[in-house]
Amino acid sequence: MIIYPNKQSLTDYFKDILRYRQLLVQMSKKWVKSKYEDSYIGLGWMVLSPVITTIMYTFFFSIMFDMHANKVHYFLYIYSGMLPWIFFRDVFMETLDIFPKESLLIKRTNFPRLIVPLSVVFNKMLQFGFGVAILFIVALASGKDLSAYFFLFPILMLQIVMVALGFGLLFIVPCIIYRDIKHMIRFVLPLGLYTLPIFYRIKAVPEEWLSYYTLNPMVSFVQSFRSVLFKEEIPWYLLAKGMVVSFLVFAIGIAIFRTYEKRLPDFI
Amino acid sequence: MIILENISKKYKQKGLKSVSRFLVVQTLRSLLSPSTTKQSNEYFNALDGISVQIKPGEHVGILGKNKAGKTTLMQIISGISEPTSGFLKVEGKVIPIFAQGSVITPDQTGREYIYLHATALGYTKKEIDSVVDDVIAFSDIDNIDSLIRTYSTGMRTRLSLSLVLHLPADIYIFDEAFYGSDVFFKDKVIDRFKEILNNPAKTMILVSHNEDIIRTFCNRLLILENGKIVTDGDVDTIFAQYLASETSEITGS
Repeated sequence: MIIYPNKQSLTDYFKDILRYRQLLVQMSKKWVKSKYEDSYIGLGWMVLSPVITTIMYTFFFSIMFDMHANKVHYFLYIYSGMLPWIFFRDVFMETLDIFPKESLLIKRTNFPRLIVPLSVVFNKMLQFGFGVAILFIVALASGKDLSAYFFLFPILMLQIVMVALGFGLLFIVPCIIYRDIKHMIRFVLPLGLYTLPIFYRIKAVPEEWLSYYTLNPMVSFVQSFRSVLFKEEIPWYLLAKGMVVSFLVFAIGIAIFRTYEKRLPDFI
Repeated sequence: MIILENISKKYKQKGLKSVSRFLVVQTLRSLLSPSTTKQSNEYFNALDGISVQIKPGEHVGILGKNKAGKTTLMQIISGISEPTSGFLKVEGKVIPIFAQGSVITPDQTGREYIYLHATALGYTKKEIDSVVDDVIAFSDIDNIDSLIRTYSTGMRTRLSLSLVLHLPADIYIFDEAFYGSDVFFKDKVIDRFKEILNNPAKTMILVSHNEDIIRTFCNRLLILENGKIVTDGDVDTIFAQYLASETSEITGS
């Protein structure tokens, strides 16, 4: 087998990743274990963390804007926006951190490196799944109906994974070579929360800015996700636009990552 | 079969790990000597035009001073790192083990380590299941289901060595792998390794500073210096005559 120069096709690349799926499962388990093993609540933190954050935001914004709306509905509104945001934020930031953490494994074994960030995605999907389950329970208990477009849920998941992983892959190598970039991202990223229609409605965005505002694929995700969950009209155009942008982010991210993948042991 | 043709690997001399430092250094450089802002010695050649063929069944020792390029060469043959230029062809399953207890994660149990590390090396669960009991028995670790953070350094080395010595492979790459193991376990490893190498199809590349270990296992010796192969030949000849003074300097014997 020619190791170098080796121009592996994209199909073979993903076949190779599929061949290492067992490693993906094991790495995901390892991360869950190392993160929650020594705490009393354990995996419960996966559920509690977004719920507590959302309750705090709900109270804060209710008091600040003197809202008289149904608190449970407002909680659901914020929570349905916070869940995807937390997923995006965690996948993105942990993807940037995970290669230095796994430097020994990277420097001593030869496997498709994409498995490492994919293990982060796996963990966060589990957390997202718990969060959605809570959302359903609260929504159904508060009298909301679920949309018949529930089948869109896997497509939406694919979209958010492409965005979060795509951005992570775009920034992995620059962040390893120039460590300051990660520190800058840590400051800038929290502002992203306020660029999404989480605490406000998309109608609050001025009409003339809307076409640029919706270029953010997370806006598309939050709106579509809520529509599916709360039986609202599906914003098809927004969904399609979000899918296209998400795919582009992922495609560029994976192209850059593949270029530097075999040089990662040199950087970390 | 391993074929290397003109393999080179360049590294950045000094990693400018931060943007701010990079900007400061570049600004200072341009202020102090505007004509030489881009320095030619920014990179160094860890490997410089290595060409060598290793046939199936050969047991090759590699000797060299620190920074000679030994580990870089092993990482490239194992497919872990990529050369900057050249041609590399490897036929057969490669299993590498590097110094200092390999990839031991403290938050895993010994058993979890076996499965994770072997999976990362490309083995299936079925293949690992078939050797796991032998690995545990060979490592002499009673508390295999305890967290690795409770293991001593010696236990960690025993575990990682036991694992690679029980996984099926065509090419074994050992880079100072005996480091950290006690005398009794080292003897056990040597016996096990002799057993593996009895199979004439098994190839081995052994990086070591230990002359005895090289004499025990290898029938060919390469000496690396500044990223180049300076000597390639029969172990006894090289040790006994040709490079006696240089090898004693490297091995310290």
